[in-house]
Amino acid sequence: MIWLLIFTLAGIVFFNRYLLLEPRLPIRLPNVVRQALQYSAPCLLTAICGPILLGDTGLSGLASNPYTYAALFSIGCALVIKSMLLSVLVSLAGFYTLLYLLN
Amino acid sequence: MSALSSSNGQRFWLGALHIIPLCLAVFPWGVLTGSMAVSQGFTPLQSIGLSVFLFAGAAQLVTISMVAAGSGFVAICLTILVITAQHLLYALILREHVSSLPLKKRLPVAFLLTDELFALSVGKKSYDFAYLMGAGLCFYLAWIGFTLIGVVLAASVPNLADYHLDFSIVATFIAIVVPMIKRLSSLVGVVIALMLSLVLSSLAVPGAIVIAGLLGMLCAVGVARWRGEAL
Repeated sequence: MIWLLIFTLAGIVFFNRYLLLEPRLPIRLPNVVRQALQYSAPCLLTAICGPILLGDTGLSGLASNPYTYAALFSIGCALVIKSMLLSVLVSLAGFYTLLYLLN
Repeated sequence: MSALSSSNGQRFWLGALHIIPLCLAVFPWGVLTGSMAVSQGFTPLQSIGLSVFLFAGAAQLVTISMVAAGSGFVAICLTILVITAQHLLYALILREHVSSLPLKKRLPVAFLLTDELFALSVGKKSYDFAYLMGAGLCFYLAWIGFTLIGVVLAASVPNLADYHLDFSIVATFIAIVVPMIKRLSSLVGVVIALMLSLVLSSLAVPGAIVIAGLLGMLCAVGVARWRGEAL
């Protein structure tokens, strides 16, 4: 099942990469689609964080979940620190410090 | 110009040389992708298979976390279709240089077309096949090697789930997304995507992530048009 998923997804990613390199394809992406695609990365990456933040506790547990506060700290790091890699490292350090303090 | 004045072999190795800094930059993500896959229940072979066949870091992390969250086959496919749609724009921009190549050259270029290869090619204004192959193959091998390191590390650490590695996905995505928010439209899109994702996921709605992401994108376009933001 996992292998079927991997090969299907590989096909989908390759399709996106190849489609517009095909010379026989006339290109007419509607404006709305082009415009919406600009927002695909930020919106989808953010949406993926939702279930991880929820964990096992659900909406009511958000206020007492260390993930919530660590995520807010990560946003602060990303605003202040220009290097993406450094920003991730600092926010992970913050996350594990928080977990350590809570235990 | 430089494509005419130097041999294909030289262009190949020049491409490989130029992409090395980008290889180093993705080292942590490669290791993370490999170890995340193992910690979320993928076998070592499947974890490496993700890098060998998908060769798309964000898409791999998304796949791993959606499988771990119990998302359905179709929901995962739709999410990956949309999340890798930026490649359509890359191909559109490389099209005038690549679409005239024969099929057997177009296919490998397409397979190796990552964010990094696109950025390098456009940044250096180098669109010839040999250069793209040198850079693309070098990056591909580096990515698989980094994943392998992550898989080996994860397989040698017991009780990996206790280390809350899933937060590294959140931290990584936040670091990627925050610099992308330069306008009100993207801020609105991201906030709506997050709210909907939290609410729909807590209600166990199938396809919550895709629905939240797409509605966020639409709201962002709505705000952009309402405020007359330039494309």
